[in-house]
Amino acid sequence: MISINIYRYNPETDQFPYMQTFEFEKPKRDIMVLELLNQLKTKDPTISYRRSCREGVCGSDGMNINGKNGLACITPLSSVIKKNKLDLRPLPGLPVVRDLVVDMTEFYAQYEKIKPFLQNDTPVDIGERLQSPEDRDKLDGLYECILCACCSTSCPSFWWNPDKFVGPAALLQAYRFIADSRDTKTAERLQSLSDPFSVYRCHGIMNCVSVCPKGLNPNEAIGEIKSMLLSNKNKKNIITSDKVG
Amino acid sequence: MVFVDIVCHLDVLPMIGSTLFFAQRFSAVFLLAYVIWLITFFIFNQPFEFSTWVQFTNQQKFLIFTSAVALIIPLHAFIGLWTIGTDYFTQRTLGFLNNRLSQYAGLIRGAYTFLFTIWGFLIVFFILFIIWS
Repeated sequence: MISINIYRYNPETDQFPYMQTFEFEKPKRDIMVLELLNQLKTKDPTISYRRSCREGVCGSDGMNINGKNGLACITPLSSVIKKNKLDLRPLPGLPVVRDLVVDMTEFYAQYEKIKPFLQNDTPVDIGERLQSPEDRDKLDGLYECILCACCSTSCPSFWWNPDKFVGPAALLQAYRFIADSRDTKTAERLQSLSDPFSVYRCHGIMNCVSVCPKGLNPNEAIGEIKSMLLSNKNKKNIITSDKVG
Repeated sequence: MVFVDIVCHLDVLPMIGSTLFFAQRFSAVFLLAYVIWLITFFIFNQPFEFSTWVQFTNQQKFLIFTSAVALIIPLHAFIGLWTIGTDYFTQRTLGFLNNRLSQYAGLIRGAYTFLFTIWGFLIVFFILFIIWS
């Protein structure tokens, strides 16, 4: 038997959150944590969690599994279970809506802030904006992010200042467009990140790299943004009018 | 009162991330160079005697470098402490401890910033006073 402790909180009935323990017969074959949750839900239909694609593409079922953020659908039970115990908690740092479901408004607000779309005011010549294979290669390791929020919610800087620090997920996407040869708003993008919080609150803790279920490296992208902000070439373009508030 | 107001609201003044980044790194490198300089002095002046130390500390370059260090330490410390204050003394972070306490987050952060700024000025004053008096 394995003990599964699940964070439970229903704001309509509970004054405080609590951990509920379920005893579960150890499966004969290795299953994913999401499958385990699905089986538990048949016993207790009130357990709430997000899930959709169940194959690590949609990023819905990000949660804290035995102390480490990850996607329940691609995390094998055997890789996380310790001494026949498993703790499942919501992603840390975000308000809990119910049980393992968190309110991701702050996370998406930061994503919106970096303008995650191609910006180019020049007219298109032949119906599409072309890019050399070398320039396209620069986007590898950046575009694959599925916005599961595992990285941002494992970052202490994001816990303390989710309204000011952009967070690793959104910064990875910011660099995805800064690095894109077709985007012409690099100076504006860098200027919007030049205050002491947006990028510089990253202290290189590397939790984001350690938990990313897609194996991406937001810390490297943040390092690239910092280098561009600090280089003389870009500094001339960054008007020092940003205010911190 | 203007000084108090500025110190207590430093987190809303226009502050440029790269300036702070460079200030913190360059000050750290300067402090490291100073420490290495002192250690080198101790290593190459063995057996160490009081007269050697007096001679060393009376040099013009020692007085200038140490005065610079006296100014740079508070600058370096200020950036670090300001970062800590804006991380941990916010409405959100204090709210993890106590909801009522979080209502006074601005006041607590202001008092904290004011105190360590005054402390920094005192350190500068005393070091310069000791060196040059």
